[in-house]
Amino acid sequence: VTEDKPVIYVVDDDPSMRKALERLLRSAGHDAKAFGSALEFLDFNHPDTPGCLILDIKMPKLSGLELQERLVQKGISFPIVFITGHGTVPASVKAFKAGAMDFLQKPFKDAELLDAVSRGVEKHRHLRQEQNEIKGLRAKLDTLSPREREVLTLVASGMLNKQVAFELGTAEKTIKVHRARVMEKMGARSFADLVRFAEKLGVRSPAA
Amino acid sequence: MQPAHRFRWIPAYCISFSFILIICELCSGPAYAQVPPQSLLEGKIVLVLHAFESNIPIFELTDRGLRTTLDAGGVGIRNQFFEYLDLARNPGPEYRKHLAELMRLRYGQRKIDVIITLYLAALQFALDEGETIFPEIPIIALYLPPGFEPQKAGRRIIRQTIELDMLGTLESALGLVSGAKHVYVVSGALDVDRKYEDQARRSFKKWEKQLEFRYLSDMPLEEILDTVSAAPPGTIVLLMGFGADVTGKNYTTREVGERLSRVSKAPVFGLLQVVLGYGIAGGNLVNFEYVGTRAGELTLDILRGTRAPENIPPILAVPSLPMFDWRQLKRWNLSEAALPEGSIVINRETTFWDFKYYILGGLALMIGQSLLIAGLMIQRRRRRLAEESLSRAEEKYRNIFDSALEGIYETSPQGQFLTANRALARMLGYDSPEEVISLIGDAANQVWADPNDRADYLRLLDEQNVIRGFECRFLRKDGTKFWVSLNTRRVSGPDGQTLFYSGFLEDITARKQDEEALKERLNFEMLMAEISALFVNLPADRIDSEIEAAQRRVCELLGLDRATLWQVPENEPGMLLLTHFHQPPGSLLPPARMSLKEFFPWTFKKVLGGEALTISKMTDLPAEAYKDRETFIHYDTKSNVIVPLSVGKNEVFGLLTFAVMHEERNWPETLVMRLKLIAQVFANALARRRTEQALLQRTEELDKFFSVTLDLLCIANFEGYFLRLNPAWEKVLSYSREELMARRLYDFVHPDDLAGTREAVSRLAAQREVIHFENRYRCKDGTYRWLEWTSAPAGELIYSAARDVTLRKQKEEALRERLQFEHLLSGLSARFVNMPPDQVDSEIEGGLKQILEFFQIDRCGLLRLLLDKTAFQITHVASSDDVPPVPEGVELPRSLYPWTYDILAENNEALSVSRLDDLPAEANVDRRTCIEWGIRSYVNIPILIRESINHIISINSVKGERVWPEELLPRLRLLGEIFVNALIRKEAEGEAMNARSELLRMERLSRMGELTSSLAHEINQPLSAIRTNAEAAQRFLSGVAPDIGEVRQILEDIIRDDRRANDVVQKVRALVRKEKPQEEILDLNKTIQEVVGLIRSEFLLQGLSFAMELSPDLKMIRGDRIQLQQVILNLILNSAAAMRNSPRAQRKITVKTAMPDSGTVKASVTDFGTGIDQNNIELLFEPFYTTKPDGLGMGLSISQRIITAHGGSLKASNNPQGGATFAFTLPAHPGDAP
Repeated sequence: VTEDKPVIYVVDDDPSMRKALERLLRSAGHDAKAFGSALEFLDFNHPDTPGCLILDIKMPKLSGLELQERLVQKGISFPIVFITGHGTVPASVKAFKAGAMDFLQKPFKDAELLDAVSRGVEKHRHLRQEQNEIKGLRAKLDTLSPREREVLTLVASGMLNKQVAFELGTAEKTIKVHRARVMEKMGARSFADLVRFAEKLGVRSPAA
Repeated sequence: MQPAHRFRWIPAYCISFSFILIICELCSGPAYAQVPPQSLLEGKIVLVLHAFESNIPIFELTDRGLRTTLDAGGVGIRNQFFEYLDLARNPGPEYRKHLAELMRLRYGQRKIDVIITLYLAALQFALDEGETIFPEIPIIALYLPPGFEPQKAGRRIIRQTIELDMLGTLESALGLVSGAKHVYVVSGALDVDRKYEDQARRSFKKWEKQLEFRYLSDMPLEEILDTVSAAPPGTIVLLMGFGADVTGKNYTTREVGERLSRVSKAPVFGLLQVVLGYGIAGGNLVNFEYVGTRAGELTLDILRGTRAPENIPPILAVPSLPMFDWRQLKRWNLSEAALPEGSIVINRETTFWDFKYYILGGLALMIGQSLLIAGLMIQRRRRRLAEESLSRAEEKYRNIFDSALEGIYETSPQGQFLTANRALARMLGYDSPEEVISLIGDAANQVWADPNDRADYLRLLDEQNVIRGFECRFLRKDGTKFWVSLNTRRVSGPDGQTLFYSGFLEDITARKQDEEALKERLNFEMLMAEISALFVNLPADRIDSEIEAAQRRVCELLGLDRATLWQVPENEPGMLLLTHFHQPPGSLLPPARMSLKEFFPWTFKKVLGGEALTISKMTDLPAEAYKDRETFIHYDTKSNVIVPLSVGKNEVFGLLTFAVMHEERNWPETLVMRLKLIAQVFANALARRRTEQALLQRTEELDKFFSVTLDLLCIANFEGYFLRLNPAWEKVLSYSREELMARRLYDFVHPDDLAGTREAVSRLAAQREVIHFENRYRCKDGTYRWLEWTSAPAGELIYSAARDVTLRKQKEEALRERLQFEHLLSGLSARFVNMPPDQVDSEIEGGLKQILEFFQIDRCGLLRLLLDKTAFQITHVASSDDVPPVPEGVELPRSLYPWTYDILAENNEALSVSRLDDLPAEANVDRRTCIEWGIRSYVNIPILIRESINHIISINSVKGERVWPEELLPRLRLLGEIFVNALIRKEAEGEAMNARSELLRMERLSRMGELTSSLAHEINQPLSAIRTNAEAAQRFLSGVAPDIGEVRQILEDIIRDDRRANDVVQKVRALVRKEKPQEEILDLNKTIQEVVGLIRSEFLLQGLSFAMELSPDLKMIRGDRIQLQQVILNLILNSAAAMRNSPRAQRKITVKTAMPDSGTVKASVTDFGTGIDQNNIELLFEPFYTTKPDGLGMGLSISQRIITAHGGSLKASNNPQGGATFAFTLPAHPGDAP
């Protein structure tokens, strides 16, 4: 996990502000990378590390809000801290709705920004863990036979073995066998784990 | 009577002779050119150049001689060229140049052999302009001035000059006028006239002893005429050339000759052929035709080369010819016998010259006349036959004499025959000479038919001894008488005693009969000639009496008893009316009317074909003519001749009859022929009269039509004078016809129609018709009437019919005016539709001017009813140039015209006053005012907009009273409505315009706000950077090993950003400064109201309320309105922002103005907001200080700058009751009170 040194990205069209922000982040021990425009940032192939994005709302060509939209579309999930010279309510509402981390009005206090950035990085880190776990579970899920998947689905929805057997038109014993195999294949140490996995994977019984 | 009698038949001879001569000349040409060597002259070309125009008589005569001679000589018509150069009427080199071009075009390619010129001008043209066109061609130059010598021209020129034979003429005249003592020489005063007069004086020298000469040239023609009219007996008048009299008045010699002859007491003789036939007796005349003939002969000689050129003398001399006018000879009783040998006699009375009147008279008459001419020729032949028979009789007589067949006798003084020959016996009817001797003892009674004859015979013999040709009548043995001619010698004894008479006699009965017949015929010819001559120009009213006189004379001459003339009435074809008759007194009068079928069925059938019918005796009539016979016998007719009356080939319209009542007789063919001729003469005269009467009737009808028709008829000439006008003109134009004819018609035409009228006349002059031409004619009262013309040219005249179309024109005019009005109306309404408000006033004035012109009124204005309804105020007015103008803005209080005012303002009714006298008694005040203002007539119309009046349109007449047509009112009202609507719209738009300018201002203000918001961003940027940098630096410095280099860089950046922020601030300041103050005098109250008006509604929506406490005594200030309003707006907006969180009820802004002292104006804005933080009160006016979350902190800073710039101060304070008050003071504008 230590290798995952977060990177803070800054996108601001004002060079002196950009430079000042980069400095501030470095002074707080962050790795910072600054971009003069939204497009520059989109072109940049960022490393698979946790991070946070500081975005000026008012920029020529692609504005901060528009960049946010594009990132959501591309599945890039950096938390974003917006900074603006002349904040407006509609803009901030829009930004928050699209998942903005914070919305700071210039001039802001350094602590405000660094705090927002830290929270952002933390959030991203968490987000990345979650994503990795689901990735593993999905790989395990793929090893299940169709029958085992059906059993998983029904069991995760809270049905008793007996009920599942009835539902699938088989014996309770058979269900027990299937259940044990599913637990094994999914790496679940307890039935509660299994249900949690199922939940994360979004496996649900249609009847539920 | 004998000489006169003899004289009478000469004319007939002359007529025929000259007639035949002319015929001969025309047909065969002169004898000398009988056998022309045609081939020699083939292709020879003769060019004749006349100096002047073609219608000059001298040219015509000369040309005739030339043509005849050239034709006969073999120069074909195609090779004779006649040019009329017309040089007198076209002077100047330009014309000559073009004429020469034309000549070159015509003759440049032709080989001309001989040129003949007439008059000097033509010769000069041929020599100068013609030098290259007709080089070296020989010229025969006619009619050169006396003594003219041509310069060397390099060609042969044969000259001819008009030589007047004055002496010859004088001597001819002396031969005619026996016992002449005085000679009046009449001559003109032109140079050439004088020249000839001098010549005459020289020529007449040799006669000066015998004759008294008077030269009449130094006096006006009138005086000459007077002198000549008082000439004593024995005078000869000699007319020379007469181009002008001493006063310079121009005449032609012919004209003078004519006038002289008319008044002269003595015969006038002349020298020029052109005068003959116009009253002069004659003279040795220059015969122009003969000049032509001689020139033609010379030409032929040259062309043929029969005479060597050197043998042709350079002068062509043409002698004058003795020519006389028979009628004038007769007038002056001059004997033709005394005429010079070879004289040419023309007779105007009956020569063919006079027939031209017949030709003019009509085709029918002309045909009749040609019959008469033929008749006259027949008469001449008859007369010649008679002469021949006379000479035959003489011959016979001689034969008898020669062959001794005459009676030879010797008689005693007692009357006994002593000897007699057989011939004598035979003549006397005795068997033998012996019987004569034995039986006749008393010759006086036995032989002499009239014993008195014998007594005369014997007396003559006693006196003369010899008597020859004694004609008398003898008795034959049987008692019958016969004519004899006696030739007797008295044989006397030594004592003188008569012994016996010896002689011979001749039976001259036959000769006598011939003579009688001849005499009778001659008498009849004479009568014929007289009647023909008489009827030629007989006035219609004398025809009847002259026909009857002629009937009587014919009857008397021919021994006839009765002559009747019957005519078939035009409307009763079967009837005969007795119109003229002669009959012996006491005989039975034929009825005035007769039915053809009943009385003359057979006769009429016979004569219907145009043939004469002769009835020698009634028994000759066939059985079927029993009715006719009955009729004739009833009226005692024994023998008669019936000649039909007709003209030409037209049908028979009457009968001429001659009857013998006392005996039967034969009608020789010759007699019938003559009677037919008489009938022809009568028929012509009657037919002519019928035609004339028809013409007269037609003329009368036309005259009647001319005088009664309602159309305007006229005859005019191309110069524009009326020659005849019908009475309708007087009715329409009120001018008398004399007045109209006294001036050119253009004087009556409306000036605007003049050009068109002249053009129409010139069209007519070009012989083109003009139809539907319209123009205006002035009436006597000065008004104009429209006339529509239909005109046609006829020669020099214009025949026109015009119609008074004024009414139609007025309708058209009204329609046109109506259209024009619609045009005006639509033009004005269209113009006023989208008119910018600032143009409305000037356009209304333009519109009023148009109304002035359109309706021809003196003054037109728009008046507004004042709000307090006490007066009308003139807002717009237009006056025509010739009336005094009225100033705009003048208020006219009701008291000046209460009656009119009430009608307009109270009743909202229009008022039209044509005459001030029409005003009622209660309008006395109004009338007085009108008189004072010089108004004579007026119309006022209230313009109602949304049923209320606030304007009137008013027109008035100053120059005179005027009747206002009814249609004027609605029209004016319409126009007024257009104007007033425009005014109302203008006011509305003025408000809108103000609002718009407010909007603009607000826009400007808000743009300022926008600007500041973008400025905020720009300033925020460096400020944020500074802050972030500064914090980063703090963090670096608080670290374990601060990177000094990094911190230095940060500080550099901070300084740079600070500069950047400062730049922005400077930029804002510069921006504010850029708005140059536009100073004006302002009412601060109004300035504040405008701002409040602008934002009030917006604030009301926000629940803010305003209280205004504006001091009415506020003095004016001087300043930039926009800047001050910006300050006020800023203060108000600040107050509003401060109350954003206050309870709604407290959100109140109070704006106050006041005068803290007389030199200061103060305004304040008070709110009940949060108030000012006391700690920050010093910062308030610093730039970028703001308490508003989105504030920039510039508003108060800028406001303060503005107020300071205006010389005032801006202060802020907290109110005791809460909230803050911002107040500024400004210096009052000196001396200015509101």
